[in-house]
Amino acid sequence: MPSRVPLQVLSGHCPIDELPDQLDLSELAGEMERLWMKSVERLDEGRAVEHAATIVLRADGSLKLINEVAGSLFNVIPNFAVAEPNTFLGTFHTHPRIDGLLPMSFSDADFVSVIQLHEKLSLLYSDEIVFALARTAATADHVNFYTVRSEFRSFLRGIDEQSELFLGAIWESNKWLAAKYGFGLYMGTPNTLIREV
Amino acid sequence: MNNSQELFFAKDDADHWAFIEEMKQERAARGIKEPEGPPPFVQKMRKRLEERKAQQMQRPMLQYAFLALFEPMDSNGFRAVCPTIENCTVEAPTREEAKAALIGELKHRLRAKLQAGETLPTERGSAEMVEVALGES
Repeated sequence: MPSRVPLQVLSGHCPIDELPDQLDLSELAGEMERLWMKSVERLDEGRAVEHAATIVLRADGSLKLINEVAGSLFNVIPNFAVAEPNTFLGTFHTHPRIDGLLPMSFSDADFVSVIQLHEKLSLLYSDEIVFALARTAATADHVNFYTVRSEFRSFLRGIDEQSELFLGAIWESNKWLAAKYGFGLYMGTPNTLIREV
Repeated sequence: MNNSQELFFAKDDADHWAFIEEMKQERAARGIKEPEGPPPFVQKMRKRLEERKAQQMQRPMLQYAFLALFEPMDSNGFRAVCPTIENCTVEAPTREEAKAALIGELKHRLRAKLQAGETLPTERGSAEMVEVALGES
């Protein structure tokens, strides 16, 4: 069955004002949840491991996660190998934490890798919440990592000074970076995500 | 993360986590205690999802009928076309899959028109197989 995510979104060239209000990712929900459970299965022992997979568009128009990999508490390197007839769309990864500071949205390095790798759709799962970056016609082609890191941190510090809610401040930084670099940003449950930017 | 290439291929949050930890400790030193439970932005999102679901439950089901044409392709598979909707064509390995894909595409296109405040097109055509005999005057 074809994906419920509109092809225009999967093309990576959707005009930003034509992005849908919500995304139906139910076809990937089970796999995303399974990889999250693997990420936190040893949390009782004080261990957590980021997991990743590659999102592909199959010949029948459906989405699938392939190339599952495990990393460490702090990082994971996706396997980008995609063979025909599958088409590379982007990556999925998890953000587990052992200190309970969850859900943790995209990091500055995540934004950079999504831009540089030309991911059309990037999914992040953290504590039963899914975040998604959708590339659009307005998304930057290249970016300097140190610029993004500096912007992210400056913005976060600026919000943090006024905020009692650290996780909320990190999320606001995500929204600011998504708007600046021309992404659609979504957040929701594994089945349904709502557009935030 | 000294190698700039690694920045592209890894989802490497080590520096990010270190920065977050540093900020967390700064906040703790200032006496700020993080609230327990889901943060407000997650609660807000869940509320919006529930509201949308409730709206969808209340909305009457809209039914439309459109004429669809199915033709086998030279490269195997089927192409389905809805002539009433501009450029509404899908392709799939089987006729049934092409039908399902076309219905999905129609849903998407009609919802987009509704959201844009446009009037939905109505089907005025009907299908009939016509026979053509050559050689007659």
